[in-house]
Amino acid sequence: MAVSYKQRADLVARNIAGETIVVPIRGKLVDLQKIFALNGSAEHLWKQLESACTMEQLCSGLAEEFDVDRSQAETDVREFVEALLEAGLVEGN
Amino acid sequence: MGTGAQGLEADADFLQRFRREIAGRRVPFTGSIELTRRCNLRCVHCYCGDQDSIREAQGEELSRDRWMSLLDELAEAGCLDLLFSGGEPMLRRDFPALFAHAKKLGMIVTVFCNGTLVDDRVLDVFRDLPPLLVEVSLYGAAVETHERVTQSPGSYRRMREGVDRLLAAGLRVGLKTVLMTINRAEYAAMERLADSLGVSWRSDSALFPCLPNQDSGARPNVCGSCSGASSVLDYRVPEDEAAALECSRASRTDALRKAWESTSRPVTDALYTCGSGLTGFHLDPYGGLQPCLMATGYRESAVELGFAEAWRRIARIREVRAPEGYACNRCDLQPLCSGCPALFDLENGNPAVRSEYICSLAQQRFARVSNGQQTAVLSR
Ligand code: SF4
Ligand code: SF4
Repeated sequence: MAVSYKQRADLVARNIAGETIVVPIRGKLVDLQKIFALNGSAEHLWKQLESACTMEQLCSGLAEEFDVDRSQAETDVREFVEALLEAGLVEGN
Repeated sequence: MGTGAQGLEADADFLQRFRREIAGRRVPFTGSIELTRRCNLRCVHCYCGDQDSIREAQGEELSRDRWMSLLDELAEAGCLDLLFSGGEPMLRRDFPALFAHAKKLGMIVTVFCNGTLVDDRVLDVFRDLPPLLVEVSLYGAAVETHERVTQSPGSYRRMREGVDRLLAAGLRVGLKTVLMTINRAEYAAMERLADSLGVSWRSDSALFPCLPNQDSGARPNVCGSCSGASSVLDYRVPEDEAAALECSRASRTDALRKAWESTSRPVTDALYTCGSGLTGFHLDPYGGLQPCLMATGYRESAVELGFAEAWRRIARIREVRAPEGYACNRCDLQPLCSGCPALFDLENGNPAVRSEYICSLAQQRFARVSNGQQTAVLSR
């Protein structure tokens, strides 16, 4: 079965000065010293990740919303999800 | 990203851009809240002043529910970087609940405390929702010295136990010291103590006079330290000695030099050139909103007006122009100087009359940073 990804529960997304800022509120102290900003289509993907999504679902959503071709959407989603995983902002199962 | 997004950003470029943006929009991004001015200790230098009159005003402190809704308003207005301070914030039974609420709203929270009241209720919430930093006041490396400052027997042991508990819980702890004539001989020993505990340490040479009481104003604020001929300022360490102590570690001298070299100091005719009232604010225990702890002349009630309206009104501090002859807003030493008009006002009763001590301390720092090579330009 394809892996699905979801926002970690211990994060709060804030809107400050027009930016979406994601703040980890639990967990390792190193994470707490970082804030993450999302913009443009990243924000759209982040919203989708409120509930569990597969890469496939994220790609379809993005291609639809931003009217880009499928292969571009796939590259963008893969890069973004990898960055989120590395930052510990989403979890996969 | 090909779809027009840069994805995830938290780098220096983004932060610089973001800081400009929040200043441009005047977002109250960085704030401190004094939950109470009450304290279980009696530090000789404390700017809170007379604890007896502060206790009498306890009923005027904001209730838990009022603080909760004010925290909601702060988050709504864009506050991210929040300090819980006092007095001793942990004296309030609702400290854990208020702290947890701020964290759950997505604020990054630092706590200043005296370390003596770190109990299981506090630790439970800190373990679950870690503060960015808990900074504990250390006033001497020796028990007697610390307690000569706190005037509270047993406070050193309780503070050390508190620090140990915080560290055992895996939290990030720092120690901070106010440099005074009482503890100057233990400067290096306090630093070694922090090193041995594996925590950060900083010292501050800026003693300043007691703040006026900010309750209903019915009570005077004359504590033992400020009555008669003596004053809190008598505990200031001579400027050359204070600068020598600050520069007794190469890393600190380097940090001062870096600040000197890299901080821009635009020439302006504004009196207040820091971030207070622009992105910074302070809330007192009674719901008064000020641009910063010391700028008491710009206070508005965040309870009566709501936070957003009070924040709008205190913007007037940004409009104040410096009188003719005021040099600090054109001074090259600004990055090395801890002075500001609010502090000058407390010390001299006039925001445009600089503190001679603070000014001379900045010059002493400059002499050390430049190895006496350059001449300081106090006014351009
Ligand atoms: S611990 Fe802080 S608030 Fe308490 S008396 Fe000392 S300086 Fe004042
Ligand atoms: S060094 Fe003196 S003149 Fe310069 S900013 Fe500080 S107090 Fe003002």
